[in-house]
Amino acid sequence: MFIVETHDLTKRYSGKAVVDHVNMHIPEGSIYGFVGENGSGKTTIMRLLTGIARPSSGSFEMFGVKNTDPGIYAKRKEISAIVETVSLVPTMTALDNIKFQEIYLGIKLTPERRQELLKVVHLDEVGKKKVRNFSLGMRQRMGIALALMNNPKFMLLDEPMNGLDPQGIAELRDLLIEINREQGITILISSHILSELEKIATYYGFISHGKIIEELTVEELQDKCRKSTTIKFADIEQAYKVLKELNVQDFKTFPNGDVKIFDDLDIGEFVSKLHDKKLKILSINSTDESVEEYYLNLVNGGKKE
Amino acid sequence: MINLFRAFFFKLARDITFRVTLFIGLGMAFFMMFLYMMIDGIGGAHFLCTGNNMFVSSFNPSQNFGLAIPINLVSFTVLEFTHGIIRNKIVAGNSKCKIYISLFLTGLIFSLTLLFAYVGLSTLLGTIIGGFNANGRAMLGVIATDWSTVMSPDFIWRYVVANILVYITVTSFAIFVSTLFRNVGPCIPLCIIVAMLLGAFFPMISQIPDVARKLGDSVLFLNPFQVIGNPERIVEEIQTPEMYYWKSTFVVSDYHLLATTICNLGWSAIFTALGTLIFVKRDVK
Repeated sequence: MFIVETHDLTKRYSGKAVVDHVNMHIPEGSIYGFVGENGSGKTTIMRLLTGIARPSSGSFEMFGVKNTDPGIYAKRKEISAIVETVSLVPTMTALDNIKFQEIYLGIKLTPERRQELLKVVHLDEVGKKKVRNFSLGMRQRMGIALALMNNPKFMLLDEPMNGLDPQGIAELRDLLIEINREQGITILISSHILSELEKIATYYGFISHGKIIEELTVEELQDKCRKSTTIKFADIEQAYKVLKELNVQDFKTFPNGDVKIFDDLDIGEFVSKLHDKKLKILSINSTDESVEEYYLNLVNGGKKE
Repeated sequence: MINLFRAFFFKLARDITFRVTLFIGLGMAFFMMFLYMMIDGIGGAHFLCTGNNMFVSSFNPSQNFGLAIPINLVSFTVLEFTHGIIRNKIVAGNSKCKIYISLFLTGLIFSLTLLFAYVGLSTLLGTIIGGFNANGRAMLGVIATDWSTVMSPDFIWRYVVANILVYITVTSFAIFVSTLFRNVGPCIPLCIIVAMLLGAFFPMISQIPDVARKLGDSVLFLNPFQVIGNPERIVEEIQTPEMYYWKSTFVVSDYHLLATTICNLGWSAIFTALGTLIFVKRDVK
């Protein structure tokens, strides 16, 4: 079952499609890692899902309710979001911001629950400090506290790790895993720190230039992120011929002399064969492809933009 | 909707804008009184320092505190956008239509609270110093001539109603431009210019006989500030054994009250409908 399903969702600004016929599926209970370059349309999709922006065409369903159905307003009460920046009243304290949000969410928290929320994000000791005097990291953490207030079923987090120090990132990661596993909250999270996404995402959506390129589970991604051996040769042309002679099936050559071999190799035996063919090896490396590499391969054949 | 109102007042109570505006308003009431007393001292214009004069003049939406109200309302509303409060309200499952209407209604309470605080204090100060309906002097009178201005309870309630209607239009306009531009830059000059035109320029030119003849009563239905800008004055010449003087009585006739009601509610409906439409159709940043 999907919490969110989009159908040819499109958003145009000045005639240019920034989200282009997107068909996206966010499974219930997943942590959906949303990966894409700057300007790829991640934030715009989050804006469309939260109702901040209106689709130019296409539609989506959230909790099975279509975006044009008036019932969507009630369903939005079951979500929380941090999109682009954390929205806070700068002239209020952290506690007052929680109370303020309580009112328009139509909920009433106990003083203990408010303190608990602030404690979760390590803001329980800020006292009467106004939010305008918070650091970027503190504001980000405050946003997380607000996002947790209504015990949402679905959280949309746009770059929530921005501005956090390494410890803060680790804590946020643990917190998201905890609320996902223990409370079953579905999370849509975008981040440029792909190494961090790799640690929490259970489902991936790759987007580039407004189009979803691929959606897959973490298991499927692991299968696809192939193990490879990278060998740097002194003479790439000769290396190419020799690899063909040795019947190596799946490899890629790079202009800097690197050859990436995806075949399952017995490294010792293979190196001795290359040595017999008088090939000069400069370096050798065995790697598993990361999400980042996979994404780069997916969108532009491995080239970093 | 109730939650949106409660949220607004919670924010208002903790926001410095409202308190500063209220403080400025009350300060301005003292300042205007002080200014009038100075003028009185220099030129003998003691008709200025009376409760009835302060009552009529302090309502004026195109001068003094009357101008400060929409300016502060614009600042408060624009901050709702720039701080992302509107965005949060949308994400929290409130329809844009509800959000806009709540902005308008809470803005109206914002405006009227400030207005009546200012008018109340101004009238009180004027009454303490010069009395209400004080003997002998009237606003806008020729200083050399004795005037007496009478403000009956009938005039007072009609004038208050007419001004509430005017401030409904002012609020709907301020919320409309705030939603349209989402930036105080163009909104504040626009509010000032429009208030000046409607409150001073148009009532003034419509006094010119030729213009008045051409416009007829249409101006009453077009300019929302027309009736309060030119309260009707019935002037009588009174002669007693002691003195000869003119007595003027302000009136807001049934017809003028009806005209200003239709005009102001009409404009308010137009601005609110347009504002809601734009707010619903446009994306929030």
